[in-house]
Amino acid sequence: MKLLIVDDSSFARRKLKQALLLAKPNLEIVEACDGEDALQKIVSEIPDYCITDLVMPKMDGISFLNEVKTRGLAVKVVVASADIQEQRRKECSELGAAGFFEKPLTAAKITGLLAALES
Amino acid sequence: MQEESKSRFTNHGVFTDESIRDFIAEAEEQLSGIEQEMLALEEERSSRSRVEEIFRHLHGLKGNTGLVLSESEKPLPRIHPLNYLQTGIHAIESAFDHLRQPAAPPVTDEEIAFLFEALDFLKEQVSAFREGALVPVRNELFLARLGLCIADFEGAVSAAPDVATDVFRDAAGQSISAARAFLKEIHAGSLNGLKNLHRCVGTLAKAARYAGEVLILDPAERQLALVEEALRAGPGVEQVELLLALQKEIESIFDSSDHPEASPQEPSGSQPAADTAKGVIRVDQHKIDELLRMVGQLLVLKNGVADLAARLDGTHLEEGLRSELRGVSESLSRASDELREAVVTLRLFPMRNLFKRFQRLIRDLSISLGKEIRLTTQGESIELDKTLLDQISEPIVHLLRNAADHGIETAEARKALGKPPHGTIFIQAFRESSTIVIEVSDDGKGLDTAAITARALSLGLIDDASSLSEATVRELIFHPGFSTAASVTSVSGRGVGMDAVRSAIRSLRGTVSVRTLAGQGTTFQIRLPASLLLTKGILVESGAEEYILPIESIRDLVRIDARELRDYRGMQLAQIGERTLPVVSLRSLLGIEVAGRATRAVDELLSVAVINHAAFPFGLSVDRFQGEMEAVVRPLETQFCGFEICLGAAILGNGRVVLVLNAEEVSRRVFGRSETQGLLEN
Repeated sequence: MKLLIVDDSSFARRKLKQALLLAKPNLEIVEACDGEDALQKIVSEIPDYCITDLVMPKMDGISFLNEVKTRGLAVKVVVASADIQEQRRKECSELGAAGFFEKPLTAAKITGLLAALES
Repeated sequence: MQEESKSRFTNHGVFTDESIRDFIAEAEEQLSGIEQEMLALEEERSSRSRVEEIFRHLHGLKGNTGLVLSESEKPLPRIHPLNYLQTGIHAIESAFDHLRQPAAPPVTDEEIAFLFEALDFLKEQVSAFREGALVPVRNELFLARLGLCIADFEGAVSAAPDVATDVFRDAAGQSISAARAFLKEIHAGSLNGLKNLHRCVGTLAKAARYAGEVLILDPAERQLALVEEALRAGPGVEQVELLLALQKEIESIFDSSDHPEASPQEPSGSQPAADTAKGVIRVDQHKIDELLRMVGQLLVLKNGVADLAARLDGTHLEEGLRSELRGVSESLSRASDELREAVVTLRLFPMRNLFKRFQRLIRDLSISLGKEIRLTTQGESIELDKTLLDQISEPIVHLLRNAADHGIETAEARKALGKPPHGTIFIQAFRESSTIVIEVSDDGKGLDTAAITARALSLGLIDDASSLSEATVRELIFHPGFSTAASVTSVSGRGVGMDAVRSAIRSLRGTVSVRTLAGQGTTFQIRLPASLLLTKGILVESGAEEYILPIESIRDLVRIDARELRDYRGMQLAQIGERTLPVVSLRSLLGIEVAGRATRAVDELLSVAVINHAAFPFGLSVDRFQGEMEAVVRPLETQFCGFEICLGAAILGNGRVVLVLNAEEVSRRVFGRSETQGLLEN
């Protein structure tokens, strides 16, 4: 099982990776630093799942979700963001996000997040 | 560990060191990103994209702060820098949310000032967190936000349309000036000021509500609500008192527990906690240093193999074996050169990181000096060793302060001279073979040579000004304790001037020189070796000894006919290229042998290295040039202190240890002699 982490902060990526591996040690993890990078990684690495941030340079999370949807890419995406406005949440789910989690991601949230991805 | 004892309070042992370092390194990048965008926003006040970028960086920093906070097992105290960081970012975001609207008005001066103040607040929190320190309870950001809200409110009141609001406007006006006065008191640390401001805002709110019943005062009322909100969000009077008491208590615990056990078992070479964040590159800097040291050893071995191959080449060894050895030696040489190159590159960072900080410095200086100063930079992508980059910052800041304070004239003075009203300071970096050159220029009034000469006479540095060349005069400003600043200002000119700059640069194996043109400006040129540990040099022989002359100090290598030397007042001069230069023999300089033509054959050709000394190039004659080489310089042990003529020692391929000459010190010995005689002209 392969998972792509999309976040412009390398600190946040590293922390998330640590937490994910703690919960699921055999997880294979790839990283991308913005939406554009993520789209390339989806093509080259073929991850099963993806956790994306929303606020990023170049291509933000919303445009990324949009691209995944219009290109019909076979990857399940959940959003992790500090921006928890209901409208934003709705927008993401309309664009096909399988879940929405508020940052920071605690261990309990990680468990829920993995469950949402695998359901 | 010392690091732990320093940061015990801050971290409560709940964060891993690694995550702190990562967080701080990224936070510093984010803050520097915000600063860049703010400087740009100050120039283009209507730029939505700058605002968006600021928000994006803030958002990232807030997210990471939240992440670190969430890792803490127990809640951190309210006065913890991370909590301040989080609430601070929140305050900035809500204060500036309106700027994100597509039709938002251009950013005002007050808003820019607030932004910079807010940025400083955030920086303070990050560095407090890094150093495990407590931040002052007095929350500058909160105060600045209050000031901003009051200004907004005032603007909204004066823009209120109806004449019937006159009574309210008068009342509001009085309250506003009262509020401003209270704000000042709070800035000065008065709790009464805060109490009074609360009351004053309460009165204003009542007045606004009353006026709002009869009139449409919508914008004013909304702004006032913001003032109230800001007051509520900030520490209340009771909270402030509580926090002050709490801080005192914590400080006393901190003091008593920290000092007595100040790590007696700690090895003396340990780094202070503040340095750990600097060390984060991607790999720990110490690991790279270690790698570089190993590469240094490899280079020594490589030279050894090459030497062995050369010696065996002339023997009766089977030709096949010999050529194989040659081949292996050459491949080893190539591979180790590439490895060295790669490792050295790991330590290189672009000047951009340095230049970014200077934009802010110049901005602040121009405000505090009341001058219009612009900073332009060139060569951002030139790369410099990380250690050099960290250590060259302070000398450059010194030069920038001097340029802003003493160099650039006021706008009026400039206009009177027919110059553009704004002064320009230009920093450029470029490469000259293995030397990095950094120039700091200003278009101000130039060095006052008359004042310098007068000062030198009064200090007794020179006896007679008439025979001094301009170059010598310029050199005088680097003399310890030399300062001609007519008045000491807070910006520069405390007498610890250019000599401190020079010695800092010398310690980096660099040089600094100055050119100036009266009324046109001054340029300081700093020359640094691109790498601190490795040096390229020419191996020379003098007496029975070999020395290495670092290549960055050599302008040219020439051979001159000994008969062309002419005596001039105790010195020997020779025509080299287009100039007449003094020629000094290394032997006599080192006291190995008395210089004199008697020991030389008349038709002897002298090997002369032209040394690139700042103002006065000169020839250094040696017995023989042995060739170019590269070596790792190791500093001399402390028992050799006072032996400044050498930078250190290097080990050659054949195992011999040779001294690496310090060209700066060589120059000083050459000119230390002649300058006192005041005879040097070139």
